[in-house]
Amino acid sequence: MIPNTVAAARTELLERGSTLVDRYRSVSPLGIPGTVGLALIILGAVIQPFHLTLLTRIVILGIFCMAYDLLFGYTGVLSFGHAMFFGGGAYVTAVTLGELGSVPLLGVLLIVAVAAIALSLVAGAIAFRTKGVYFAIVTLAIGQFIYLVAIRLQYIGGSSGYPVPGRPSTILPIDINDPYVFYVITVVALVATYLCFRRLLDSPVGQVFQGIRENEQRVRMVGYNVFHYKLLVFTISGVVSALAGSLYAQFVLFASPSNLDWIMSGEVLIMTLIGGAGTLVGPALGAAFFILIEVLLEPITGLWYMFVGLALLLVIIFLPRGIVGLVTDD
Amino acid sequence: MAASYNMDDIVVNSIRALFNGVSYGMILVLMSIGLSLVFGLMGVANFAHGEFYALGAYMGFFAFGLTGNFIVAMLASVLAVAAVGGAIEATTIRPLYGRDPLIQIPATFGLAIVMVEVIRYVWGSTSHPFPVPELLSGTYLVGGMAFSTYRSFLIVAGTALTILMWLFLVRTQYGLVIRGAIFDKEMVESMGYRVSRAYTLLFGLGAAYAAIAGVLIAPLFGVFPGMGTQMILLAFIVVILGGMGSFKGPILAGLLIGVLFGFGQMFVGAWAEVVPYALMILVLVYRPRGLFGTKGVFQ
Repeated sequence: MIPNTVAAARTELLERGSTLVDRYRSVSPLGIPGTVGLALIILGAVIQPFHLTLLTRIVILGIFCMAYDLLFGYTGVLSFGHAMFFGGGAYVTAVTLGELGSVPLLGVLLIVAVAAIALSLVAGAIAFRTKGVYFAIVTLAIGQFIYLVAIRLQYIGGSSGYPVPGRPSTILPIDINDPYVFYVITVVALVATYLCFRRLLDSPVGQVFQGIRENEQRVRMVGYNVFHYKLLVFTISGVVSALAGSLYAQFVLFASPSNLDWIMSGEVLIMTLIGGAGTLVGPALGAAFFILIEVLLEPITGLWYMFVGLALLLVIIFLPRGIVGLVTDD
Repeated sequence: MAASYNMDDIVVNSIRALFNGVSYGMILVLMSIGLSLVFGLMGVANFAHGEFYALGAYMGFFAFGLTGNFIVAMLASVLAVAAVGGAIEATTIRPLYGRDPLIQIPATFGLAIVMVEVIRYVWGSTSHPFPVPELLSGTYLVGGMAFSTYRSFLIVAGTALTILMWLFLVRTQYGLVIRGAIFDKEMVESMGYRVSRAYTLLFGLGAAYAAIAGVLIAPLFGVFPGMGTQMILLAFIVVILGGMGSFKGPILAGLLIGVLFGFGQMFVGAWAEVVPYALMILVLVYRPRGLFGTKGVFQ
């Protein structure tokens, strides 16, 4: 019944010529993303430290999920190896800070981005020789290969992971060791990611990505080199995922092998699907849903992970467009 | 003299690696046949297949605890898991046939999560030992080398079951329908066969084979909740490496990976785990359709 009510309300608004969202967009100088970002920053200032920790995790994973959805929801390519980027970003960050000492934040992010570009190009060149389900399994194997090598390299801590000695310095006069300041940085990164992706998806290149999802053969027949476009979107997604991983390592001050494991690749897919694949907001909501289930159910029952699995199955069968599909057509 | 002694050492170690590798490879083959058929016929990359293997081992463990009879434990486990497999196909996989085939990956992944958690809930997170049946315990000597009776039994049982599946596929009416539907589902349907019923049957059969593999391996490594997750990745590697649209593909690839694993453990220790992944990536670079894949099916 509820979706019907929402649909009716929406139809009514559309008939009046605009939705609430449209009206808000026309009066607010910040725009919707800026307003949401500002709201998150204000929210972070008033909540307790424990909740701030949760919110920071959600925001960082939200960036990861958004990057994942650029590939999965918008281009129709299912990678089951995205932990290689997230965990790779975390490890590169930890090892850079651990071995080189004080490196500025921008320097760390630049190193992570360069490493992620290299990894995307190599992994993509191998995996895009196949497509569909095979692509998923090939990326899974590449990711797991990296995981299995990483936990055997004593230089990067082996199976016990690699601690981050401290957060990097910044060019701004702020101290990112302060939890709230660090949180604000992650929110800015989330909003920036959203705006960049929005712009990208509206551009001709972004249209080609979505064309590949709709009908790859037709895009090829029109004359686009589908392989190059897929490699491009894989690289963009990989770089942003690695940057999210870098933020995560700086946040928890640790690069863990579990960031690289294939379960992490499965979880980003779960969050994206539950939130709503093919949207930019949905995946971030999915990350929030996932973390909230974990936090709310873990103290009550040892079975919280089973509820994640059940939620995923129910969403796939009954809500193909995820949580955001309940309230919007976007 | 010292040199010839070393030579003997290498030969003995190699025979042992080969023997261990083939017996482990047989488990991989039993796992992969079902996975490969379901993949080939239904296009479903079943991430829950590893949990059929784990559930099989646990069911066997449970039935063995009740009856103390290995044969009864195996039969009970196989029947139970085949029923679970068929039921899962009918309730969870079937609603997704009209959708993007990619959606079956997260769906079966979700199923796997639920099944692992159920196993953990019922039997606990710790590992349980599973005794080797008395008749099959111990070792025997061939040319001065001791071989495990149980591992020999694995090789015999694996070979027999593989031949049985092959006979089912090439000698029976049902096998004919399945083989036909892998290549042209619509044509087989238009001839009046209900392919959807074959789906349920094949899914159950694949689950049964995974359950047998689980019961068979349990006396070697015990039963633990993560056993299916550990195995499913290797099974997928075997399927992809072997190539689609070929029955011998997963068999030869399974044995190959088992043997490489055996030699790897002998010579590079823990790094052996990396070998199957590296091999798969290498093969894909040069031959994207796998070792024995039919051209076009894979790419």
